[in-house]
Amino acid sequence: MLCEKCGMKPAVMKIDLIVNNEKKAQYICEDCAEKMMGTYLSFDTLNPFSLLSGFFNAFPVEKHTETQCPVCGTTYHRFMDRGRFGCAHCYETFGSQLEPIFKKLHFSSEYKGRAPEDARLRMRKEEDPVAKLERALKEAVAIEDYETAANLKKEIEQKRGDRGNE
Amino acid sequence: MSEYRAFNNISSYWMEGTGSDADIVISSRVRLARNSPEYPFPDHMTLQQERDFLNRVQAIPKTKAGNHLDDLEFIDLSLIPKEEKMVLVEKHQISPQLALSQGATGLLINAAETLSVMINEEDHIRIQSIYPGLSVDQCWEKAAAADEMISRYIPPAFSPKWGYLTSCPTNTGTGMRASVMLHLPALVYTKQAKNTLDSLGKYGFTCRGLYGEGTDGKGNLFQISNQITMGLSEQEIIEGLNGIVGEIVAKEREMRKRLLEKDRVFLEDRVFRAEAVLKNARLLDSNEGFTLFSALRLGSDLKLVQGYTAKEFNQLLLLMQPVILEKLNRKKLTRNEMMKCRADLIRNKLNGGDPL
Ligand SMILES: [Zn+2]
Ligand SMILES: [Zn+2]
Repeated sequence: MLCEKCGMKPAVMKIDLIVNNEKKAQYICEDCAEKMMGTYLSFDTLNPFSLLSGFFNAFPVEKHTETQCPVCGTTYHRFMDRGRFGCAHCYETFGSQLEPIFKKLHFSSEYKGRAPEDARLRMRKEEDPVAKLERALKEAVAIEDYETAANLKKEIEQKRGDRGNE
Repeated sequence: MSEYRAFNNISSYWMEGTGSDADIVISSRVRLARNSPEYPFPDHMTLQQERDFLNRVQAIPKTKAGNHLDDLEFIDLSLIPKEEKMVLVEKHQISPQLALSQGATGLLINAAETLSVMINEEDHIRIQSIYPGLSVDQCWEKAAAADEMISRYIPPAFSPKWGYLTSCPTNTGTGMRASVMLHLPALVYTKQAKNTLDSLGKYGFTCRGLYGEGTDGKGNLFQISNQITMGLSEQEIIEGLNGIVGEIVAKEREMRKRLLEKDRVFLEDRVFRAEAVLKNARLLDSNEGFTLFSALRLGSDLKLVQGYTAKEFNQLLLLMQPVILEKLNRKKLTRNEMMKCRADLIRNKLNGGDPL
């Protein structure tokens, strides 16, 4: 895709303009971006827009596979064209068609990372009474409420003592 | 001028020049992409939906858990002039997209700028943690804690099959991008950079110049990050990155040693010329500045020149940035004024002053 501002170079990023109180996407090149920014484009925070357009050419879209997300209206065709999902439900909609894409992008389509539930379990564990008191103590010290802090300290020592006797 | 501290602090903690291998590894970063299943991804959101979501995130720092996590400040970026937002781009805190977009976008950021959350960028939520030196583990710990806290209020779009659901399929899975910023002058001088860095692809990592494509980027600064977010756990990705960075750091050290032994005159010539120009120039454009910065920093790492710290070099990098220079001057600068201002500040700094 060419830059929509100068029409000369490939677009590397998408920005949102507001026209008549509505969002309007504009795809721009590196040079136009730097001109608008008044500073250099550093690549550490840039989303790889340009990398994708070429990548998706490897997956030709066949007419009979055309599906559309019932929630956001994104078609499979548009997804392939832009390299972006429209919403979380698109994943269900495009289902099995995603497998080869992920395999090519990530060498694997298997998820091995953590789940939000793991995080929640960890939080619950952290909620044991001593941890909770210790957190309150830290907060009390931070706001220099030393009287509360002293009481909390006593309580924590007591609870720890109880545990030691179990 | 805006009252938010993030616009008024010129430094971020990642510039401290501390942490392991800080002579070569400038900073580490972990970014987590998260979305809510309740809204379409930002690309498809209406302005009103963006505004609604922004309001929900805005409330988080005021909650007990939010307050406990860190001293996060909320900034409604749609109310901030573009020039101010560019200060955050130059400090590597927000992306160019977020700074240029006119939609309802926002930022949560702590005082040390070690934790920030971009709102309504390509994903609803992008949590970032940045620390100095090789410290990817520390970044992960911080970002994961923020993720746990935020997901209490905004449960993330997640599928057991695909992992975290993101706008771009390159992020689906862990939604994690772990990266390090490296200064690799000896690999560039000895023409080893291209070979070394091109080989990373097959391990699922990628390397690019921080400013500009290829290995002739400004200041011999590079960024290495993971490319794959499926098939590996977060921990495995981080271990892989640490391993690869360790190898590259070792190779850079080897080439530095070789330059000292075999090409000492060439090296000394570059370093002392760089020092002479930076200490005396009256006009300095940023390209020349980046090149001289790199040579002098290498000379200091190799003890050819004395009296500089890693922190000072990181501050010099900031003085290459146009918007920060204008901010220090409190006015718009012409091209020549910019070159003069940069030369003056750097000269003053290297001769013992402290402009920052
Ligand atoms: Zn253009
Ligand atoms: Zn959808």
